[in-house]
Amino acid sequence: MDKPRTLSRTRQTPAKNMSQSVFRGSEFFSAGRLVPILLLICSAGIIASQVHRPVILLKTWLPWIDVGCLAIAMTPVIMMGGIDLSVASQVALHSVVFGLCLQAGWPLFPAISCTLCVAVFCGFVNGGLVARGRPSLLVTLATMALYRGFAMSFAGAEPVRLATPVSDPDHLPVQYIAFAGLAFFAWLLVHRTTAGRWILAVGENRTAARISGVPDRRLDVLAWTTCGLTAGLVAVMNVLQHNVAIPDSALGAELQAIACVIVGGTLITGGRGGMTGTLLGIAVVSTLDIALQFLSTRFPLISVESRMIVTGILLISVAVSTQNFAGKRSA
Amino acid sequence: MNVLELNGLVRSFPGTLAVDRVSLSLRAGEIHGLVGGNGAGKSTLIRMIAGLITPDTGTICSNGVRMDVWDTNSAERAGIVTVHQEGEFFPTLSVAENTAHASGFPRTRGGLIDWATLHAQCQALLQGCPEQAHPQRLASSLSNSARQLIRLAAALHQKPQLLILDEPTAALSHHESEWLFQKIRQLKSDGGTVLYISHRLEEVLGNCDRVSVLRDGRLIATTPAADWTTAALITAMAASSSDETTNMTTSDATQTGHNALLPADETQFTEGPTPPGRNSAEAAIVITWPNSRRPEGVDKLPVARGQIVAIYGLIGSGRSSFAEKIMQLRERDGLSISINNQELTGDTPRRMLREGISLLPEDRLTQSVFATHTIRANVVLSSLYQTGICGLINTAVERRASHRVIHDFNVRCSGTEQTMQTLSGGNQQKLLLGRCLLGEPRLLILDEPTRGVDAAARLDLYQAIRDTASCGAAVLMLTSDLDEALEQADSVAVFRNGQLQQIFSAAPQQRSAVTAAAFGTNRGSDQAAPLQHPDSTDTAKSSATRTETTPSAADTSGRTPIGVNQRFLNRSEFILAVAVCGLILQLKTSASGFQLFSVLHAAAPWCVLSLAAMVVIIAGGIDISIGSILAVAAAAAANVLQQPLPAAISLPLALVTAIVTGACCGLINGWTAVRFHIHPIVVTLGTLTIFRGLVILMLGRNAITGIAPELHFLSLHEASGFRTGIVVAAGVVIAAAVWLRRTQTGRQLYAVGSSANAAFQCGLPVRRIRILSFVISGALAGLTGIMQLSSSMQMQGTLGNGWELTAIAAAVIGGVSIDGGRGTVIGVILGCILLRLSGTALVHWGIPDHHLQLFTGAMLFLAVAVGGSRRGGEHRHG
Repeated sequence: MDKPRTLSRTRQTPAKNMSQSVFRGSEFFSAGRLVPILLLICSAGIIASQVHRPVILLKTWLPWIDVGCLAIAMTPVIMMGGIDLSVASQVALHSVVFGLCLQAGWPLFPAISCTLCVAVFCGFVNGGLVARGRPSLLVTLATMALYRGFAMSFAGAEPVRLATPVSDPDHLPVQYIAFAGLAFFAWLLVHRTTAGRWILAVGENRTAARISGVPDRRLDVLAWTTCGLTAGLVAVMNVLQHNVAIPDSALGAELQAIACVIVGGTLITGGRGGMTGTLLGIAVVSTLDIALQFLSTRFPLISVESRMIVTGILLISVAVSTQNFAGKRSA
Repeated sequence: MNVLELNGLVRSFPGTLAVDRVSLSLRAGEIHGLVGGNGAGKSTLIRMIAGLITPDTGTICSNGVRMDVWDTNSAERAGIVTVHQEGEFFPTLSVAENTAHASGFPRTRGGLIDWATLHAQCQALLQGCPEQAHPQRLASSLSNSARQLIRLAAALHQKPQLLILDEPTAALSHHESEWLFQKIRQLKSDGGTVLYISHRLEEVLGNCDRVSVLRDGRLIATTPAADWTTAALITAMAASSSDETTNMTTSDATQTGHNALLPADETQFTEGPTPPGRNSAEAAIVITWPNSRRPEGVDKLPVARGQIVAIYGLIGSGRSSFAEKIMQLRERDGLSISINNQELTGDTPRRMLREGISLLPEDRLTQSVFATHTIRANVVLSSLYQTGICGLINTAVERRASHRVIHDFNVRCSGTEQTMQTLSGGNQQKLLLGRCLLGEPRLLILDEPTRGVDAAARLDLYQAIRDTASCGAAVLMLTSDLDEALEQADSVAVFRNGQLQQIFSAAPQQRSAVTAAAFGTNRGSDQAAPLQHPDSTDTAKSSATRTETTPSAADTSGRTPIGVNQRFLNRSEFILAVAVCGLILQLKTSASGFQLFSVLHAAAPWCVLSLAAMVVIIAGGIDISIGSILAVAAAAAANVLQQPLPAAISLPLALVTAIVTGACCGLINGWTAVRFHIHPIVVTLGTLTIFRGLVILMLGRNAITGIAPELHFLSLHEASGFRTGIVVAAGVVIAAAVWLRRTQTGRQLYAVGSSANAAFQCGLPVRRIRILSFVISGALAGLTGIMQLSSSMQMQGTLGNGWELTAIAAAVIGGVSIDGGRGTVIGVILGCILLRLSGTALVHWGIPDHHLQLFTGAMLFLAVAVGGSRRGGEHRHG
């Protein structure tokens, strides 16, 4: 990272050895993936041994579905070398907007479309500023505070409760279906469209991408707007599920989403990664967390706090291994 | 007496032998000229002398002592100062500071930086210099020539034993060059030695005592300058490099007979133009310069379909920027390009690509290759819109296309899914050329297509270029290799000083004429038969106008007086200060019961925490774990306080514990980020959760209440009502301000954040400084923790949750640039106080509490949206 370019250039010895080409085909089972996959298997085993009624799992996983959706939307952003810290605030704002619309007696579909319009606009503000050259970290840090502020102001610090429940909280959540659909479309976008290829190219080398005819600024706008739209979808689903819109909901979800993406092997500097990795990352982080949660009811030693520590260590160790892996190949 | 003696230095790079057994001795008190064409090995040689790279074999003797180890430090000890052609600068620092980081800061008796002396020194150093930049002016506002002059002045001011100047006059005007010559003559009379490298032969002959000529890495001759004439120098430099390559090009390459990338069976590629033959008279593409800025030379460059035009010029002659102008990568300055009399109007590289212009840039690493991506992804990138159906990628088509490129260009690889970085430079270049050709360009611009490419791959590339041309594309080949230009192209256009000078037909006998045109001596051009504009050979006219045209356009651009960097308050801080004062006045008058000190008291821990955020950001990092560090430190201190110890011991112990714990956490962050090259945001995101978990582990389930009441004096002295917290915070703020402003380490923090490359060139310990920034930040966060503990008197697991973002927000509002290298303590404190004050004001104005967040957010958003912080470089990589 801080290796000056002068040094790294003299070190550039072209590797002519043909036997080095072991990176063919699927990158799924690469070295950086080993730890997460093993962890996934272990924690899935723990959960399986602890749970007697599998239906309960649907409920347990529900909060992670929100994080998962956000992580999926975050993946293209991070693949481009950017970041979106504002997604969680956006979820809060959009759920408040949706809740207020419903409270005002709007029918469901106008309310949803109004919310999604707000969502697209919020994402567009982020993307527009990023496309104009502002660092995304800064832009989304600002909008994170701004959107949360709007949510608080609109809701008036109180949760927006719906007078007439729209849905039954015990109903099988539609979130799972939405998540699967979103994951599929995101996978298609990232791995099977030119836009996906461009996103990776921009993350790897923005100058080269521009010279090769990639519309990098339009991609900026697209990626951040998609993030906003996804936040809107999550918000709508949440409100419909719980019949309440909480202005300080989803606190810290953006960091969890970023952690899922990183654990999935996407480089924070962009240019490497993908949707498969993110799905794995979501699976590992959530399964691990839930497994520890189950264990903590059995063993008092394993408590909430140790769950956090484990997630943190996992994040850093995966980052070290992906970075080393990438470093070995580029140095 | 020889200042420096080089004996048989050899240095090779993969594929080339850059310097081959060069022995050179530099006498004390001489100006030694070093000339040679492009790629003659000059730069490698001086980099070895400067200690930046080590020779493979050979010895270096300094002042008669043979040196076994020769690195930047020993070069510095030997009094060697180098002014590189493209030296790095700290853009966010002042002129004076830029000169000081290499040579050291003047100190006051207390060991602090003496800015007044430094500015006076800088003023003195610029005495008589044509560039009279204010010492406090920001370096980013200077033009190229001004930077170069300041660099030269700083180097001369160090009174070096040996001064190495690499193309010092490339960016300078005639008048400015004269100043330089006078200065180096003065240095010589003081007993100093100068190694002068230049393409401008008159300068070399006019100022040097002895001249050495390098060619193909070998030293051809070292003789007194009086023995040389310009013509003789040109002959010595330009003698045909009679190696195998050139012979092979004509014989072998034609026999190998690769099929070039013929637009073949795929439906997507069948629309290729029919080959019009090589000697088509029709000039399909014409590039025209605006007349006003063309006092000499040629203003039209016609390129016929099927023709290869080489653009030859020395380094710095404006070849690459010409290509970038055509591609709309930079401002065109009136340059226009038309195909078949139709002017191209595309305003982005993407549109130009669609118009049929394709560029293969010069710097493969930073401008064209996607190193970690597969061959397939690299090759099809520019023409993806041709292969897709409904926007979906058709992998089979992509594979076929890449296979064809691999096959046609004879690329040695294992398949289309191999990553680019595992290939050699030559193979990479072939594939990248393939990327350009897949788009079927009408005009193909190749910038140094064979740079760093081995001989065999070079032949393949030449063949491919010729085949492309014969398929009807026009090719512009930008090159600094004269042999390449003469052998491969149909005609050679010569660039000098950013302008097209002459166009020659490519024939071996034109060699000396082309060299002469490129070096700017028009001797020998009378034998040449230029294809166009015979007037331009008018020697008297061109040499007379030359001096007036050399000052670059950039020279006039940045002359706005900006010297605000080091004033007490800069503009954004002034606005903040006005806002703070206005709010205070407003509250004083309107709100009853408003106490400024209670607001400041509440702001005190936040100020310290914002400083913690700022320190890391200035050094170019970011730390989002400071909120958790704060909590860890507070928890550790609370544990200490719960021990049965006398207050006299436990209080200082708790304070030290908090700060040390914080510093340790910071060390973990910094070390992990620097050691493993992980982006600090990832590291601190991980440690954020880890530290938070640790806090709850330390506390158990419950909050600790009833912490030793003696601690409360750190925040408020109960008996007298004295607000100790403000004093503590003020002390920290002053200490931080002095540290960041008046000590060398503090300034190094700014330097590293401003430009890590420049800091490396100046020999700063970049990694150590980065880690230090995290440690200091952690210590400050720890201090915040105990301050918070003392004011609230209880410890909760959620203490400091989310505070890091508010702290970063305060720093950003206070004018800290997230790219690093810019920001002041005063600004951050003002930003922090403003945030607090506005919260109080909202309450006083009767605005409900829940609107506060919106207010903060809007303020931060304005600071970001209106403020000038931009993406550092377009290339945001590693």
